[in-house]
Parts: sequence; structure tokens; C-alpha cells
Amino acid sequence: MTADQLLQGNRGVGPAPALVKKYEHLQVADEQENVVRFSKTRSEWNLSLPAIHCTSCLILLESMNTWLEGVVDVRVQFSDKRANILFNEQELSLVHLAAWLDYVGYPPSAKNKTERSNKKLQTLGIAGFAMGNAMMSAFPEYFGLNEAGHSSLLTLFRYSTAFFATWSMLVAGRSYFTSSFASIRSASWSLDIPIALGMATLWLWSAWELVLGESGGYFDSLAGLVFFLLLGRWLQERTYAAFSFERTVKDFLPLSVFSTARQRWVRLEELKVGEEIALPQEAIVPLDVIAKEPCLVDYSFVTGESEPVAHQKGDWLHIGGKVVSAAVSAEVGRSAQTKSAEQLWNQKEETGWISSTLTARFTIGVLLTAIAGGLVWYSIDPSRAIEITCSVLIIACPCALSLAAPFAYGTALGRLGKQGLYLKNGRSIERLAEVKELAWDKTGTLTTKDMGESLSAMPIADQLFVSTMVNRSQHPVSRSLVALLPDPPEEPIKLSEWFEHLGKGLSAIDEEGNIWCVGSGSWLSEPPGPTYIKKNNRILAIFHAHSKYRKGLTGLFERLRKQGMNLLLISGDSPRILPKHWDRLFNAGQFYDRKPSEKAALLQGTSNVLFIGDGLNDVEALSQASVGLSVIDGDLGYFPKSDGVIEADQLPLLHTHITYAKKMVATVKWSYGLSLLYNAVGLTFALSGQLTPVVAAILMPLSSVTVVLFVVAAANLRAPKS
Amino acid sequence: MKGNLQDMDIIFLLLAFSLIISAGFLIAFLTSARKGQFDDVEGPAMRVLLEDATNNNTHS
Repeated sequence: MTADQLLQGNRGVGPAPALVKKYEHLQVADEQENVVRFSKTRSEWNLSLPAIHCTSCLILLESMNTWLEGVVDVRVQFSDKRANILFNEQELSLVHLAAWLDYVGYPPSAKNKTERSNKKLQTLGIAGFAMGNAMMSAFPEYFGLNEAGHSSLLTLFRYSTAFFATWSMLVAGRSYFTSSFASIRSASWSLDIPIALGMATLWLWSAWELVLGESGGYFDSLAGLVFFLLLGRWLQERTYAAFSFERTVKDFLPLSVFSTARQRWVRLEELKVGEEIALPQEAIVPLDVIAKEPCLVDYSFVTGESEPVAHQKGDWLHIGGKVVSAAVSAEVGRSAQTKSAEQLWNQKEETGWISSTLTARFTIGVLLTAIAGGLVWYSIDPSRAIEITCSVLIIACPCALSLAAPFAYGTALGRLGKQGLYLKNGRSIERLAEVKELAWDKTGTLTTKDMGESLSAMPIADQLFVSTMVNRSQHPVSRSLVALLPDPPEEPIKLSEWFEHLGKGLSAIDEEGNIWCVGSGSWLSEPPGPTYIKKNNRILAIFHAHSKYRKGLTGLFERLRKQGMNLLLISGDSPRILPKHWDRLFNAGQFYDRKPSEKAALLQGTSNVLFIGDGLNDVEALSQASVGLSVIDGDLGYFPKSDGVIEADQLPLLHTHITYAKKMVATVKWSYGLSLLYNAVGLTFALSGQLTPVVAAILMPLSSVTVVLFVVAAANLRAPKS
Repeated sequence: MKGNLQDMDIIFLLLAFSLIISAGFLIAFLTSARKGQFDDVEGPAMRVLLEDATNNNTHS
């Protein structure tokens, strides 16, 4: 269905009744679904349409009022993948509107509006403004404006600097104070504590000097400090946003399912564990359920694996799968709240760039140095003891320290993203750098989706019969056979009986009473592997579908071995002969016939293992490994518990990515050293009583800027060439 | 010295003016950020095409 066809007002097009039924629960929609009813004829719906991805989407949706009666106006918020629809509810009900959106390819999603505020941008603007003005009014004093000549001007400049710095600290830098209070209350050491302490002392000391009229204080440094700190935070958040996987499977899930128990459509959140639901053919499994009858489920959307999985009664059907067999009834296994896509993601989440032990040691070290310095000076010159304590707290402010890792890893994530490896966060880089062993899944990871196929010869009459037989089935193997065999004859061959045995094969009886079977080796008591075509229990032909290995892997394995990495192969398949060289490269580390839970069990208790798998099937292994990578062919899908995804054609370059991760961790360590060196220099000034406003004004921005430049340059220069 | 000070008096005026101008820019930035002009930086670029494509859409 194109926009043109819709615009021409084709009659008879529109969502089928079944599709409309899917959204029946929306009859009760209210503010919870972001529906606002201004009047009987004017309603507004703000909804998430995760399928929005290009200019055409925007054009189709925003011209909706020209092709759908009842729609008044549509406004798309492209970055958020949301739309604001103004419509007349007397002409078009909400249920039909939702069905229409689904019909044209934009199923509404249950995702609620997240208040994505641009508060950080605004505070950054304020901090920048304050810094510029504070520095400007501090300049004259540095350039020789003195008390003797222009006392009134000097006072004016000093107070204006103080005003801008105070404003910046209170308005823009407030979050540092609130977060350090919070971390003190929870008795944890965050890096915000020394920052807030440094800022507060800097302000108090400067205010004291200003009131006494001795100097202008350190207000310009304070304003610069706040701005640079906020800039670092803003950049960090932006890199996060750019590399978060925007679409999760939840975006594509239906909003409701039909509850057999209640005989009506029910919102996902209202479902209770154990409740019986009906999943029609082609339905997407909306949450983890337990099948009540055998069925075939296609997980290609979530895993990229093209073969549907045959489930028995009592099996778990996983979220995101598509029912390809006839309708099934199932029982809710986990409620929607306990297992949402986002929660899966967050399980492995760790916050903070710098380890908490380092932060704690740093904070305690600074406090001890300040107190010790004060005590020593108290014995030398009691009048300067407070000044020294304050200047230690000021100069030890870990501005550079807190900027190093976000900038280094942020840049590195960007560089890796350009090369087709999308990691979740800086911690993933750190863990990738520690990898010593690589465990590979086989199907879908080492192999491509394309199959090489071969069918042995058989008489033409038999070919026509088998063709008729498999033509009725939707199973991928049947479809492959249909493509290889001649078309069924125009005068149809009669089958007196035809059965599809889920997960096993097909059987049929022709008019002469011959029994025909097409199916797997285990079902037909033959060696496993190929598909057999049998007539009266005699093999007629054999169909081989063999997966092809991805290109460039041998070179990758050899290089990884050279780097001293151990290689493991953990496959769910029966043992098959690996390419010649691989056997040597993997030597003892080959495991076959492993169920998903057994794959995870193999990785249990190991450390520094990178598991490369293909998504949902390997969820447990991906989370068990210290780093879990999902391989993607084309589209981004849904990758719970992975630390990142890698594009399949970039897989041969994985060794360069690991090397790069190692280099980046080293770079960050160097930059910690560099900023600690600056701190040491500053502390020498402070402890010797020589920290003047000029020294502070030069040293503090200089340390931040050089550390940031150092890590960004290193991240770019050391990035592998694409 | 006294004449010198009078020459410098103009600074007070200039300082006030420069502050007013820069405050104007800050306010302009804050209002545009608050009104959501930075919320969707991709959409408007595409909407340029939309007006041509359908000709009857009245977003303003």
C-alpha cells in the first residue's frame, strides 16, 4: 500500500476486522494512553510509532488528513519517533485510528512518553553565558587595572565577576551539590563530593577576599569550572543517547491480547501469571508465555534465525516470536511488569566511569591532605592555616579526573560505531579489553542465513507428486523444496491423505495407496542432517541444506590465536565437520548439542570470556559471559543482555576492536596519571602557600582541557583504520 | 589622574550595554530551548519536502 493509492481514495482498502479487533481495548483509552479529549469532535492522541524511520514516513503520516476521514492534523516528532494526532472522534474512533496506523505500517506502541527535557542544554547555556561574562570582567585586573588608578572600576569588575560566578554555581552547578548530599546520605563516595567541596570552598574563600578588598578571588575559575564540568556531562549524555539501541522489541509488541479466561481483549499490564490467552496465527508473542499446545514460532525478527522453532506443550514461547502455525492457546508465564524489554537491558547496567574504590581513595586522600597541610601550617604560621586548607580543597577538585573517562570512552564508542561495532557503554569497552577467551555460537553467528541447497535426482513423476505434497506446507524446508522442484501440474494430483507433523515433516498417501514421507532423519530413522524423501519407506531422494560460513573468519581466528586468545565453539547443533583449519584452531574447545541453558552453564564461573551469539536464543549465554556480543545481519533488532551488537560483515575485524579497547583502557589510565600529576603540581602550589588566583585560573582549565584533548586525540589516532 | 578617570567613565555605560545585549542572546536561547526548538532537529528538514509533496498541508 503506497501513499499514492491511499491518496486516490481506493475503496475497499483499510484495516481488516481482525486488525480492528486487536485495538478494541483502546475504547477505554484515556490520559494513560496520552489521549486528551478537548470536545466531542476534537481529540488529541500523542503516541509512539516506532516504525518511523525516514522522510517518507513523515510525509505519509503528516498527510494523513488528506487520506483518512476524521483526521484533522498530524505532527510527527521525528527524533522521538512519536506523533501527535488531532482527530474528530465522531468520524473516526480511536480504535479505527490505531488500526489504520497499523494497516499502513506504523503499529502504535505501548511505550509511554518519556519526558525528554532539554534542561541540561539550558543549564549549559546559562553556565556558558556566566563563564564568558565572568572571564571578561576578570580580564582588566589581570591586565594591570589596579586599585591606585581606578578603584571604582576595579570594584565594579570584581563584583560583576563574583555575581556571574555565584549565579553559575547556584543555578547551573546545583546538581553537584544535590548529588553529593545524596551520596553522603547513602554513605557512598561519589566523585561529586570533592567537586562540590572544591566549588564551595572556592566560593567562600573568594567571597572572603572580595569583602576584605584584597583581591577579586577565584570567581572566574569557578565559573569556568562549572561550565567545563557541565559540558563534559552533556557530551557524555549525548554519546549515550546516540549509541543506545533505540528500538526494542517492546516497540513492536501488540498493546493487548485476547484473554480466553475473560473473553475479551486485555491490556498487557493487566494480565496475570497463569491467565490463558489466545495467540492467533501471525500474532507476535507479547510476553513470555507457556504453550498449551504444540506450535511453530518464528524468531527471525529477534534472532535473525530463519528456521521456525517447533515448541511442544509446556515450552516457553519467548517475547517477540511470531506464531506461524495455527492459533495456539498459551498461559502467561511472566507478567508484563516483571519482564519488560528495558529491564532486560538494564540488568547488566553499571554506572560510573571510575571504579568506586578509586573515587573513595581520592576523596579521602584530598581531605587528609587538606587537614594535614592546615595542621603543618598552623605550626609555622597560624594565620595562614585556613587559607592553605582551602586552597588544597580548591586545587584538588577532580575536574580533569572526572572528564577523562567520559571523553575517552565516548569518542571510542563513536569510532567503534563507525566500524560496525556498537557497544553499550564505557564499561563494555573495559570488559572487552580484558577478554582472553572467545566463545562462538555456530548457527547464525559463524554461518550466514543463506543456505547452499542440493537435491538428489528422482523420476519426474515423483518430482511432481512431491511438489504437490510440499506446496501445501509453509515450513522453510518445504518452501526450499518447492523452489527446487517443478511446479505442480495444472491438473492437480489428488492426495487421499496429507498430514503435517510439527517439527518432523510431512506425510501423504496417494490414490494408489503409496505412503510418502518428507522429513527429518530422526523422524524417518535415518542419519541426522539432511531431509529425506521416502516412498513406502524407501529413500527416493535426499535434500541437503548446508549453511555457509561467513567470509574472513579463518584469518580472524588465526590472528586471535596469535594474540594468545583461546577459542571455543559452543553449538546447539549436532557435530558437523568444520572447515579444515578451524579444527586445529579450536582444537579441544568444541561443544555440540548444547541447549541454551547448557551453553550458559559452560560459561558459568568463567571470567574474561567474550561470547558471540545471535540474539534471543543465546540470551542466557550472553548474560553469563563477561562480554556478550550479538551478530546482526542488516536490521537492528532486539538484543537483551548483550553488551553490544556487531555487524556481520565487520566480524573479521573483531581482533582490531579488542586491541583498540585495550589501548583505550591504557589511554584512560594514562590520563588519570596526567590529571593526578596536575593535581600534584597544584597541591605543591597550595601547600607552599603560593596559590594565587592567577595560578588557579591557569592551572584549573589547563588541566581539564589538556586531559580532554589528550584522550580525544588518542581515541581518534589509535582507532583501527576502516 | 582625575581626567583619566573621567575618560574611563564611558566603561560603565559600555558594560551595561554589553550586558543587556548578551542577556538578550541568553534569553533568546533559553526561550527557544524551552519552546522545543532543539527537541526535534531532524524533522523540520524533512518537512521542507512535505510541503512540496502534498501542497495542502497547513503546518505553520
